[in-house]
Amino acid sequence: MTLFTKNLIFYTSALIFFFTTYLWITFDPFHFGYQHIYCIQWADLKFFIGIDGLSLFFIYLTAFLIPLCLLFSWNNNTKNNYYSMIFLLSIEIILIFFFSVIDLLLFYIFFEAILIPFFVFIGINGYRKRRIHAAYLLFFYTLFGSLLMLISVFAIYLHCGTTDVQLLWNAQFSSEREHLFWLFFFLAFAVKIPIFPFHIWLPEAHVEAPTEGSVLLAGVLLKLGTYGILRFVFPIFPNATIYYAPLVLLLSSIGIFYTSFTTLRQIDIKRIVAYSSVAHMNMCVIGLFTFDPIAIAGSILLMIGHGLVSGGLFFLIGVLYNRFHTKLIKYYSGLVQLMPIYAFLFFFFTISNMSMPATSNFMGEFLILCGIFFKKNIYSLVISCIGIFIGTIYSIWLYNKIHFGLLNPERSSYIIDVTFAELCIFIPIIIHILWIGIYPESFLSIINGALVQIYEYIY
Amino acid sequence: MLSFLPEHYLLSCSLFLLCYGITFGLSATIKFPFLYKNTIFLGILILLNFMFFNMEDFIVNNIYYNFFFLKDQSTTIIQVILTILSMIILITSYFYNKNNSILYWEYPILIIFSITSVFFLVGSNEIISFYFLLEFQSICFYILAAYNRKSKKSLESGIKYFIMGSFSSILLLLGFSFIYALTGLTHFEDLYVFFSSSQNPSFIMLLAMVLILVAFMFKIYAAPFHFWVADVYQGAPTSSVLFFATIPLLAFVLILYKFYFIFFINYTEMWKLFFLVTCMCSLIMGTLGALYQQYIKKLLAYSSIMNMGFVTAGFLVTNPIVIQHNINYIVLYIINTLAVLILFSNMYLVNEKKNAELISNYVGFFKQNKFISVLIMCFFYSLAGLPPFSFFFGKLMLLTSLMNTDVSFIVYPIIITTLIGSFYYLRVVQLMSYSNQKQWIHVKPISYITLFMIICITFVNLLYLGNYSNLGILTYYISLELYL
Repeated sequence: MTLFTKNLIFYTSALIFFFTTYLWITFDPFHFGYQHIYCIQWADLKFFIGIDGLSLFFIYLTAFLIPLCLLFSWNNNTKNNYYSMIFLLSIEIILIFFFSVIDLLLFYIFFEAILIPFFVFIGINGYRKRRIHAAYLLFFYTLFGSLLMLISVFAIYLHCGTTDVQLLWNAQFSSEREHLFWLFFFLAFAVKIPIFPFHIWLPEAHVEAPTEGSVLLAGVLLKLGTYGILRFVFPIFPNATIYYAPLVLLLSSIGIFYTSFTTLRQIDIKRIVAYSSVAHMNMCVIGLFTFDPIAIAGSILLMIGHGLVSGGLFFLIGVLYNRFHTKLIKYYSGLVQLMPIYAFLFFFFTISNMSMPATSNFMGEFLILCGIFFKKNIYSLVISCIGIFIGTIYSIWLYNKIHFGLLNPERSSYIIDVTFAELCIFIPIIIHILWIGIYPESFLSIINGALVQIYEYIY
Repeated sequence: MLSFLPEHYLLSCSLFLLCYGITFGLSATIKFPFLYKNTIFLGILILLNFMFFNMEDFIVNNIYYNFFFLKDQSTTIIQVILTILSMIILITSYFYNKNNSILYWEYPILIIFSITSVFFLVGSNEIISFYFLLEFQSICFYILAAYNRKSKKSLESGIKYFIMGSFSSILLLLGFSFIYALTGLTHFEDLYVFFSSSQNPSFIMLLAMVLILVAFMFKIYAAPFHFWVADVYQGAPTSSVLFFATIPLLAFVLILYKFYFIFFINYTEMWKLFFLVTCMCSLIMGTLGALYQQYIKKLLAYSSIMNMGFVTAGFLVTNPIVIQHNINYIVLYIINTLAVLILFSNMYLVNEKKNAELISNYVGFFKQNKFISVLIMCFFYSLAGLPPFSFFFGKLMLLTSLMNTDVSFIVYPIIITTLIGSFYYLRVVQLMSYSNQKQWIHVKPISYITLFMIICITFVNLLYLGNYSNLGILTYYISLELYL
């Protein structure tokens, strides 16, 4: 791929990122509703694109992570293939549209359309047979939920006569219909989040995907599910949500407990981080379904923070893979003597992952625990605390196993520490994590505006 | 006379073309010239003229010709669509025929004869002419299936098609003869008057109805009458399969809708029961049959069967909206299948001197020729029903309109079979893009005209936004208005 095209793609994505920061700056946190609404019209069809307090940060996260992925893949293509950068750009466009449409049918279209580049992107650079299995798992788990959601989309359109989100928030259904639609919607989002019985595709997909794919999967794709829950399930089906909340809390609690313990048995570093992603996202779901505004705000903060932290962790693993060409944990020990700056970066992301104060994950989890406490949900409180505790265990264990101990001299020749290009990837992520952890008010002020709308439909 | 001009023109020009071919193609004095390109060119001219004649007086009311034919707006629309499709088929089949050295000048003439018969068939108004034209069309198709004289599989598929086609025509004839025996009428308008006031049908009448429906199910590749389809697709040369997979589906569905409004308007329980059974069988057998296929054409045959399951589900209800969306669905399906078959018919392996027919021939194709494989992936994603492509909107419209009726339970099996069905479409995409092969697949480059056609179809596929399906409403409106 020529330098010109690489530059072109990178500067396009950087331009999109600056445009997103402009959107953030000109966003009015006191205006509750959609802002910057544009109407796209093509012969008879009209649809609206707008930003809410909720979607702003997910768009920002997407636009932030993709230039970093492009930077990472700049010199990393060993087989002369140019399409990974083009795939990343197409994924970015689909994701930005996904978070900004104000229409149920278009939401569904982009929800499924994201699978098209991902299906090809996961397996195209690997060599193991398992990657085909992983790609099929990703695709068919998501498609199964999505097709059931499609039935709900039809039925809602026929029931209400419109697919505009703001009009649908006033829809009323009979009890049976509401429960059925809620179940279908929840199934589609539960696969994406992933909630306990439907989480199997995530570790497989993460292991087989290239680094940029993993970063985007963990950073943004898992948030599609919770974004959908906040945007559609809470306002349109409030009665069914309250009815089924204990079930969801149960599944998430089992998820946190089970995945945190499973992490301790893994031999592949990416799988460890993948399972910890599942645990964090289930924590978000617990926060969502306690119906306390503090908990929901904390859940959204945890989502953003998790996107940054997991993205950073997968980038770190990518750096390791570029040097050592293996992801099995038994080949790593004593790296702190070899790559001390890298050890520092890895330490920072590890303590972010286990929610140390002054990082974003702490802010999110603390607010979630506050909310659970106010709602007097003893069981989820206990399980969440156990989950955070086990999170600490596996994070420190991973860090200890990789970095400390005796250095193996056979595998440590010609290994360079973190390069400047890689440092340029990590420093912005660290800045954002510390920003959310120390002064989350700049984020919370905008999130609260969006929360008011969502919250009033539950009560 | 002006009003039936297009058909007259087509018939006489096709006969003239045949005479042209015979005089010059078999003449030893000018040393047996190569006439294939000439006949293609003249054939396209004929079809173009036919299309423009049809579009000339479009808003005219129904034309009765000679007591046997009726031409209304629905038949005109279908004729225009099928003309465009057959022009595309004529242009893109040259490459396949050249590679497999079946460059006989009769091919375009056969295509034009078959399409003429289909055009007359959709406009026939009488039992006798209908059967006659059905046989004419079937014979042309049998010859097309057996076109590759050097290959045993082609001859075998021709004979299979002949036997099954004759069998279905015989069933149809038996049904019609029972109707004639019971009513003494052969003209569709008289039969309409008879059946619109018919209650409590006798056993023989019901038997006749079922026989007619069964014959139609043979023609539109619906289960459980589908067993011959896969072998015929596989054996016949791909340039003929381009024709089989697209033209009869649309034509026979329209004729079936016409028959509904003539014969079955009072027999809705039997109609619904029949189509419910056919729909379930088609969906299940279409998905299960395709899971283990190794040949592309057989895969596409089973996908035809599955999609015809969707269409028969659309037959259960005869609202104007459901009819419109059903026909929309078929047209989109035809466009997608046509594009896939054109792309696969052009893949000629140079070293082994035959077309790449196995799916395993395409492993790792993405790394070799990204452009063509992206196009193939585009159409397979579309067939699987993924959003931004056109076929998703076809399914969306059909399912939405079906949910609004009293048979809304049918949506669930459709969704489940879509999920299972998307697997075998995706498997092709997966095989093409993931690979460990170090060997190259030596494929001959495609001609520019074919590529141009494919790119036009791709634009239609990508930019279709689901709102331009006015043709269906015209067909229903006309059908209903005709007999009122």
